[in-house]
Amino acid sequence: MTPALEASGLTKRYRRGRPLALDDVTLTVPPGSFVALVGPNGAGKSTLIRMFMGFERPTAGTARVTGVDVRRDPRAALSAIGYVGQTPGLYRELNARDHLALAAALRPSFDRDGAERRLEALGIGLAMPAAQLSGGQQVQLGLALALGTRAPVLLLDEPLASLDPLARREFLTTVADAVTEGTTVLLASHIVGDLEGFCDRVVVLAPARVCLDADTAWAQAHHTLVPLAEADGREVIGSFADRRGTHTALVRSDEPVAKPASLDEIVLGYLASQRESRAAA
Amino acid sequence: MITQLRVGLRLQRFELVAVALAVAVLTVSALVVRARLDGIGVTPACWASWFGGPGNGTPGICTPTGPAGPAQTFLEINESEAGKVMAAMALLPLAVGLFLGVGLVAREIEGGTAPTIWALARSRSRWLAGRLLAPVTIVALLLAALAISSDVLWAGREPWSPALRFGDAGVHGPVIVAKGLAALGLAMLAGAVVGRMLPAVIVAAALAVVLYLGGEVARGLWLLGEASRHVVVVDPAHPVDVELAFPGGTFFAQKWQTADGRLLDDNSALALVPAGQEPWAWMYANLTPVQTGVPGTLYPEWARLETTGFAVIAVGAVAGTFVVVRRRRPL
Repeated sequence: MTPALEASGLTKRYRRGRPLALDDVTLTVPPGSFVALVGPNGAGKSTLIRMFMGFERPTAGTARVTGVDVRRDPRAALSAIGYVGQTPGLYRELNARDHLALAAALRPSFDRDGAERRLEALGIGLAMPAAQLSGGQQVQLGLALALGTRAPVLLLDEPLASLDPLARREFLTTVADAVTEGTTVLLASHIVGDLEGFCDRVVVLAPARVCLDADTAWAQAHHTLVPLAEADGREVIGSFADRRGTHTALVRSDEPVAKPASLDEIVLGYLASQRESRAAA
Repeated sequence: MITQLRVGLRLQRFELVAVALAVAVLTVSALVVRARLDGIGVTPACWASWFGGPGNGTPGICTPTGPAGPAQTFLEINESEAGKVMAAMALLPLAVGLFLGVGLVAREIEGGTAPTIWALARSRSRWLAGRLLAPVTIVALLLAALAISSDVLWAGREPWSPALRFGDAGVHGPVIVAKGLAALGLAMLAGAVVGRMLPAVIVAAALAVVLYLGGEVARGLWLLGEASRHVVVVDPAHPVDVELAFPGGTFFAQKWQTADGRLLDDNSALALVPAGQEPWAWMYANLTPVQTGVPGTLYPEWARLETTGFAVIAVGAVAGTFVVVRRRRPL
């Protein structure tokens, strides 16, 4: 089956002499999956998403969307993508209905009725100017625009960052519904806790490189936390201080563990490992 | 397309209303000033008397009533009011283009709507075409109103001159539309390249100044080139006023023409005088004194060239914007 998203050896350097924004990233996202792309600020999450959209040219490597090489046929690649950015990217002066009309004018296959129903179900007034919508409602409008394209792939570039917990939950529920209907989702975020229970795969980008690419259930079943002092002889990924200040290690096991780590803890462990590697270097 | 047109109008409604008001004020001003000039009722005979007949230049010479006289009043209104209107005609098309053009792409990038809208659009070129439609159509219509009103005022400013003349060249007629669209295209291109409003406004303003000065310089160079091809032989016995040698046009210089057609200035001609000869007598005897200049009848040719030049800049700038928008990052 053709992967929904495929990156092979994707590398990006914005300016000569500056560190790589992406370093030889290889990634395959099967259709219908919900992938959380997590990592600290500046890890390259947005750069990776923009490359799939053709908004950035790779320094090396290839990005494919539903099998289409983004550089060779950017229009075909983009037509397979629905996108929500870090800010909803709405016209303050226009209301939701105008936005949907504009989307329908720009993309004839746009499902305007479906988008209107989705917004009405969320209680978002179609006649209200975007500037008067709450942050959560604006992001929901952005999501309705993306879902209305009926594109098989949804790229979400940190849309959760400015939302309150309830709005985040509503957003993720809508996205999860889309995944149920067969849409592939790649969601970049550095808020990991909310993604647990929604995403079926996690990719951790720690500056510029993929340091974990795993099925969420597998990752949780094979990682656990132990006090750092008791980690000898085990495969330690990284260590960090827990809430009580105790140094804790994230360890990986080939066998399922008795007390699985949370997604948040797994990501924390891998980010810590990257920090330790950089410090050692 | 209608949706994009409607959205385009809504997104730029403030700018469009401001521009429409400015154009309306200037259009009405031009028509009012023309009506005031016409209302004075200076007769052709009066102008003939004023410029050529007895008492030439003396206020009141053709005055049926009042001490200042209608010709004097006409000239005062022509200089103060019509002059200001024409000066505004030179600036407003550039300002209109700048004001409406700079935000077309730059605001989308700076405001963060470009990634959303470019992700939705089947092609960025189609999006830009739809986005351009409203402002370009409205700017063209508004500037056409200015072009007509400026022509109306221009036609009434010098009733003593030929209908074809270089006076107020570049600030009346169709060139106004072309110049405004060129400014709009350059401003849009600057906005697309820079991607932020304030720096784009500064760059676009600089380009508008270059556009204005470029028009002036191009006209000067063209006139200079034409002047060498239009010579009027001077009869020393009956010297003709330079104004009358090139009616409605521009006098450049008095020169000496050799038998093989070369044009020489005084110093070059003096260098030809054989030793021992009285220079001026020799020059009058062996060379032909001529005046070089450009007659007003050539004005339509220049107006066509100038309009075409600005139109080409407009089309080039718009095409450049399409290229930039297709290739640039939306951030």
